[in-house]
Amino acid sequence: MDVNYLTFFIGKSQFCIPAERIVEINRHCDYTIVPGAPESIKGILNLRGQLIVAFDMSSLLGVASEPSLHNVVSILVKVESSIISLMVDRVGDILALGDSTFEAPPNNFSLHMRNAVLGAHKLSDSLLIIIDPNLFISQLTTTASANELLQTSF
Amino acid sequence: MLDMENNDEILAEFILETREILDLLDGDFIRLEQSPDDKKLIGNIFRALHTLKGSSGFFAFKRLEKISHAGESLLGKIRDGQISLDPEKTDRLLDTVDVLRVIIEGIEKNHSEPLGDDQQLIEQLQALAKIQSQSVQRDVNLQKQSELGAEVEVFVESPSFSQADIAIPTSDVSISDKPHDVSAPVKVNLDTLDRLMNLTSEMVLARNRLLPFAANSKDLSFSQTVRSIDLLTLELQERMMKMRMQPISYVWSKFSRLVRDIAQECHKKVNLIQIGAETELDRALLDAIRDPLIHILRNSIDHSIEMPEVRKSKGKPEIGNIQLRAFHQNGMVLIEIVDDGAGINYDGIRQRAIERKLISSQEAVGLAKEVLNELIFLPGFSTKEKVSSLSGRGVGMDVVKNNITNVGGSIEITSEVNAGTTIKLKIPLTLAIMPALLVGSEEQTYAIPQNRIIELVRLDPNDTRALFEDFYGTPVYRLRENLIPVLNLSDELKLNKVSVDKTNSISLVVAQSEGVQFGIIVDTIFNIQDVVVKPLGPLLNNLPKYAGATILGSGRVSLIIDIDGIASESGLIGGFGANTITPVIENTQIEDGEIAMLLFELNGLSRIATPLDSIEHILMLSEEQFQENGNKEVVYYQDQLMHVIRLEDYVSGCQLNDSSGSAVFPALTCFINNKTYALIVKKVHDIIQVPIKMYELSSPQRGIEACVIYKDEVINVLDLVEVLAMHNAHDSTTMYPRVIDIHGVLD
Repeated sequence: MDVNYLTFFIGKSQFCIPAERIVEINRHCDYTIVPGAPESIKGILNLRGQLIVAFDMSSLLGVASEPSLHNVVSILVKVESSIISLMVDRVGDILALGDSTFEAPPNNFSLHMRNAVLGAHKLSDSLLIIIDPNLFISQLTTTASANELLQTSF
Repeated sequence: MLDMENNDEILAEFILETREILDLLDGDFIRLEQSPDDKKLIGNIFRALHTLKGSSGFFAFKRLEKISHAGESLLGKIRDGQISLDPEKTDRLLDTVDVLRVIIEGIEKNHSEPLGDDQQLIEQLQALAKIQSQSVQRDVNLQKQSELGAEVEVFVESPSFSQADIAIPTSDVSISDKPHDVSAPVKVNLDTLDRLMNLTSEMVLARNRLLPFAANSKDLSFSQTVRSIDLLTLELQERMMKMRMQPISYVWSKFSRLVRDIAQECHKKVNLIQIGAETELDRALLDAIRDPLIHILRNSIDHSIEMPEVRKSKGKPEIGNIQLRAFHQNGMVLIEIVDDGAGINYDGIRQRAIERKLISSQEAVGLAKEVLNELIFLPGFSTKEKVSSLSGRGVGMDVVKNNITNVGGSIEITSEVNAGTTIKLKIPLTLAIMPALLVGSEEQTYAIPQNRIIELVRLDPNDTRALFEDFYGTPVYRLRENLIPVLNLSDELKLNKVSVDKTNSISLVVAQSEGVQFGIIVDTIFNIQDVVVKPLGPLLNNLPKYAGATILGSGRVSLIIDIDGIASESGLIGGFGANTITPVIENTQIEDGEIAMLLFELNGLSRIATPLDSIEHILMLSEEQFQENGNKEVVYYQDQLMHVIRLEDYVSGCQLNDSSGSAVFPALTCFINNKTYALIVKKVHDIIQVPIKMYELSSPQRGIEACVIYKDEVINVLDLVEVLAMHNAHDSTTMYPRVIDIHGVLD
């Protein structure tokens, strides 16, 4: 069974997310910065009356983006019960990929990136990294509550 | 009998409807007790029980069926005038409602009737009904039924539970003779409503963007279409707002029963009058005001309304009156709770305030009622000597006030001795919408809740030097004769500086948090508008500076500033200065009375004491337990981090400990400002009762507040506040890296 993936670019690097999660793709979103929020959170934007948290994927994935394209495209994806926005440089093609090319992250894969990367697909010339928004959302919410705990204990 | 698995939905509806019936029955029985001859009311109750019996039979809930049958039989007799209603019968009937409620809760949990023996109750009901004839009156007075348009008999066979089929007892608690409206309401999930609300507000924004096109267009039919869209959107918005509203009777309907029960418990006679029960409020707000209202009612009955004999001797009617009145005013809902009881004991409050050292006795005499009323809302302030089972369960008026202010409301008390007390609650119509002031800082727009703003001050930038004064590093502003601390919004939010242009005037928003007034500097003040509050969601919920966000007319998101959050994050509140009323430390003659003090010894100072109230525990600590935390000493004791304070370092007249003494010291622990401190002393002597009367020291001594006389001996009283302030200030004077101490006192 092949699964559809949407590929996107940050700088020269290519990533993909499962296409079934995608709600819509927008350009030039007007977002509001949230001072004090984690660095990877770019701000919040309004999607038909719903507040959407926008993630700066270049900061989250640690990849430099092309300055002229920085956070130009917003990919709205469904995670758990809510919708979030992933701000990327540009979107690429939709690829149908099967289990045969899938690889889980290697054992010595950085712990930090494990919270965003599900695995990779072996393409003929490169590895296509699969981003799972669910992973970093759940990680962010748990650190948020952990921070709260830390603050209250002192 | 039906297969329950396939009928969960019908069952859920049955439970919901039954609960509604039971709630209404509670109120109806109380009113019936007051006017036992109200045939219409009896008819309503009779029909409600009959409905319940019918539907219970349909689900084969035998217990429900039997009990409601017994209740119905008794009511049938009363309705037909064969027997009359007395308090005993009312009690039994209310018991019946209680048992029915328990059974319904059981059914909700397990989808089957809980086990239980109701024989006794049924026999009691039957005994009460057994006066003349044994035959149970079965034929329902059809004429009365048709008045309400409810077909009870048909319903018994019908598996549908739509509201129209159920005879509902009168639900309007207000004193009005309006016939009950029997149109069928639809129950909608609150989430669905919220989503619809979102869509509607988006619709409004889209319309706003469309309007300029129509204004500039020459196409008449286009303009007309836009005009009708405009009108429709407006109406849609209004209807949507109304949908979230529910009459206050939703909360009040339970009060008649509550008041009756409390009054009986206190052996008092109380009559509850409800006016304006049809006043509508947002559903979320209704839930928020229920507990405060219950608390206020309890207080009124328990404290204000006098015993019947006392009332008689005062020339008042034996039965006390409590009036609940709700009405709309200036876009707010006003709820008044008026009783005709003894009123507030202001002397008691004065006394209590003196005991708690909030005011001195001289001040107390002159204090106006308004100020004393404010005292009632301080945490832990209660004048009631004994804690009764009703009021004074640890939930004081401070909690009531907090609950009300949390939803953006306010509370006000007025009272006349022997004439009664009036409590006024001002509640916004809805939680989802609130008026907010839009301000700009570094080209960002923020909303500040209007109810937290005291005043706005426009400052001329050419004068800025003179306007903000430097309080040794902290900017302050001279607001008339008062100095208020000033925060810069862009600094608090760590915004990137964009505007270097200083020619525009800047503005100061004066706000208040926990009794502390402070100013917030913003670049621009736009306008006040109603904003729809949206939560930031789980990803951003650990940001205390924001109360949520809202979508502006332009479609852009704007953050709503949480005044309390900003104030506490900046350290403005939570310190020692946070006391709404500063304790009076000038120790002139203070009222007679005694206070318990802990007597202890320091190196070089053999007689020093501190009020027992301020100390939590006495521990024995050894030197090895002390650990370094930056430049401070701390002790980790029983999962608690305590800051060690060696009192000898702070109290004048002490010799510094050469640490050659014993390895184990007694430590007094106190919990102040969310921190636990361990005060190291040499020896703990005794607990002594000393007069409250304190003598001022001729020249102020460091760490000593005053002295008291105990058995002709002079005993120094520790100034804990000063010691803690010195301890916390200690950090900034040392060379070591500072311990991050957000809540510490930085003076």
